[in-house]
Amino acid sequence: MTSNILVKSNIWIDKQRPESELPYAAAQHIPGDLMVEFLGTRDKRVLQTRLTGRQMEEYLAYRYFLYRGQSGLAFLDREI
Amino acid sequence: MDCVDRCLKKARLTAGLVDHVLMVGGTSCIPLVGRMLEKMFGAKVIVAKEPDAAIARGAAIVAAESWEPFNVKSVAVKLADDSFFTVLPADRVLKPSASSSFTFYCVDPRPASANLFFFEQSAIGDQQYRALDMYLPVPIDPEIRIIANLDRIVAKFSVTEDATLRCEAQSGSIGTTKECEIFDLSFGLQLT
Repeated sequence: MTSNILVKSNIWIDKQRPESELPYAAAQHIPGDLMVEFLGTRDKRVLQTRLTGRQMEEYLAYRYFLYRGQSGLAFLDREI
Repeated sequence: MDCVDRCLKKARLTAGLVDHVLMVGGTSCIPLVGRMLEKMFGAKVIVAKEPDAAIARGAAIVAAESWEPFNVKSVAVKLADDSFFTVLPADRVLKPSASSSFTFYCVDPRPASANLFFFEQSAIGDQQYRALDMYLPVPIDPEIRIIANLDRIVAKFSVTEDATLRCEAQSGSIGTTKECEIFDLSFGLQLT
């Protein structure tokens, strides 16, 4: 019997400056679907400039492929 | 007896080449184990005086001879970008007074906890990590919707007197301190 749950780490640290206080530096590590909520827009032109490639991919996966009401945690199948 | 066979094989010895076998620890009190060893090594098997105390005595001798423990395999925390951040490097002397603090950011507040997953180098000098059976969920405010308010998790790592890694972590929003201890650190001994 193997576990069928998967929990992904949701923390990030600036490895060069582990005691820094720069929340904006963490922005590129926020999951894409949540980042869209933070930005408060779904305008594709804005998103293309503000999201990283990975975030855009996650946002699109969330928007088009996940079921309605499903958790917004994107890429749950990625191994921890 | 498989373990004994492996030991001999690793040391490139045969039972005939061993002069004495000293049994220590609780297993020495099991007569069957003694009989099996005698079958393998002949009459060279001796049971230590107070076999239960032998390991504690050995540890006391080592401690008295100014040896100090050092960490052998790096301990790291897994990050949201799937990389690892080392919190206790290999070769670090395990001094009880030493501690270090790091500031993590919770980049996804929706699970209502910031999850610190602990990993250890899979082998000495290896770049691969294996998961330790330990994770620390630090409660956070799940309603954060502004990047500037991303929750900060201050984690303090310290080593206790019995070479255990202790982690105390606190979130900026809720403030509850959560702690855990990693007991199975791989450590070696070096002369001070």
